[in-house]
Amino acid sequence: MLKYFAYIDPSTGSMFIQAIFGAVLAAGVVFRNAIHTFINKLRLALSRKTTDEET
Amino acid sequence: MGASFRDPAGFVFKDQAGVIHRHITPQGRADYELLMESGLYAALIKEGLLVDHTPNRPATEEALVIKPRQIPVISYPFEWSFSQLRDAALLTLAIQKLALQYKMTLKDSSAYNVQFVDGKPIFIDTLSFEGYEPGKPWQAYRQFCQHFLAPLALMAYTDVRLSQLLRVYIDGIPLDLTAKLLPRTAKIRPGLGMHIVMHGRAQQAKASEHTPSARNVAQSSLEAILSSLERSIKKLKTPNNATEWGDYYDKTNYTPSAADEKAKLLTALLKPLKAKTALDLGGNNGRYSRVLNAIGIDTICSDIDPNAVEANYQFSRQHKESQMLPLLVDLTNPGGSLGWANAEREPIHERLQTDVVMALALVHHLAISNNLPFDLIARYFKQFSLYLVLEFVPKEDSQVQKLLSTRKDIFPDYNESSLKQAFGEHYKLINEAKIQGTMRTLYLFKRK
Repeated sequence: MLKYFAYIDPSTGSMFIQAIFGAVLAAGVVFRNAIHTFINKLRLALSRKTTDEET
Repeated sequence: MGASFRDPAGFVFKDQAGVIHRHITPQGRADYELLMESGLYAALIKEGLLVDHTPNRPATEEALVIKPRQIPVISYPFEWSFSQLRDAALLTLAIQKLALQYKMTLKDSSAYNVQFVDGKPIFIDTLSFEGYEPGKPWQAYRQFCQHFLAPLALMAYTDVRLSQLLRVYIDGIPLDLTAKLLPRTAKIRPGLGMHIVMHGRAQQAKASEHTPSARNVAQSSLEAILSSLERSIKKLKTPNNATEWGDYYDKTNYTPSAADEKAKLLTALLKPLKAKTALDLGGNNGRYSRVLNAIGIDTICSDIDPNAVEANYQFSRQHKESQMLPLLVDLTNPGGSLGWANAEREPIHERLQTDVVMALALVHHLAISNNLPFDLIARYFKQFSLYLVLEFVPKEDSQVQKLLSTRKDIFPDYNESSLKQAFGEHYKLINEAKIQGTMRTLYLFKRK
């Protein structure tokens, strides 16, 4: 059980929803990073192909 | 001081000389020392995000007192334009992001933790930081959404005037109310949909539960939430509703040469006073405040029109000005005297004390549109400053004719001699000058 020394009322609902949003958004970050990495690798592979073709 | 009773870690007080100090209790000591030793304090100071401080008295077991950098003018979130509130929000998020890197976190994210100094927002609550426990959710998330995201969304999507709801809801605008006021186009956006709409519903749903949730929230999740909040805020379009006053200086009775004449007269009247600070009441976009800035006077430029204040702030940020503070104030109903015992927040006549008040082309609005007798105006103005520069616009001027066009002229005393007599009870007239090319006169008064 986590102990809170909050002097402001964080609201149970806010804590609850943070867990959900946090998970979704963090997953989104991982997903976006994966897509970007994939796209960059693709770009690299394609540019190498064209330079190979040129030489 | 007024609102400084909630946090058990410490409180703010003013000494006899009016200098503000922060008292750190034994409960707050550990977090304060962590702030200083973790490197977070140094990082915050380096980026200009937090006010610095000096330890004031040697620490005892009971207390440690620090003296923070003094803030020249205290202003409140409902006195800020859209961009000022937005910059304060982004500052808060930047600080929370940085804090996490040093294993600390903000325990509250009230908009009152931010003040404007040298034209830029800065965090003033040194005791807002506590140690971060991995897995623990951000307890200031609700407050951030209510103090910052909700009013910003309402200003951008519904109406810029809704920031005034912050006067009624001193702990931020309730999310369910915000959701009701936002149009559909706003609520379908993922950021606002999450942090306002769903967040608000979760609050209602869990309202009857009193056991804290044992949910684990990873640091990466927290960081993702902070980034999401930042994106949501940056995507909000700055409101630009056409209001009466937006393009005020284009529609006045001043030819460019008369306007220059007025600026010259102001400079001539004020330079000998060697004033350091001024309050420009009804100063619109700051055109004449800048005349004062040019002679070294730090100026608060207050106006009732959100678009004018916004334009003023944008100009000042673009030109990196440090002597201008634009504020949104309705002089006939200014904010302050809020909270417990009407004493947590102060009224403007206590906060906006300066050397000179400028009331240029203002009094006719107060006297005619608001039916205020000259005597009451004088009594109020004298609470703000020693000197007063007043531009009197006579009845024959077309601006006053406009005000009288839709109502009965019940103002037999609206004339220069009555003005001089009424103000003469409270002030001594030092100088006067007719503004060439207009029917108007500038008066310089000194409080008796």
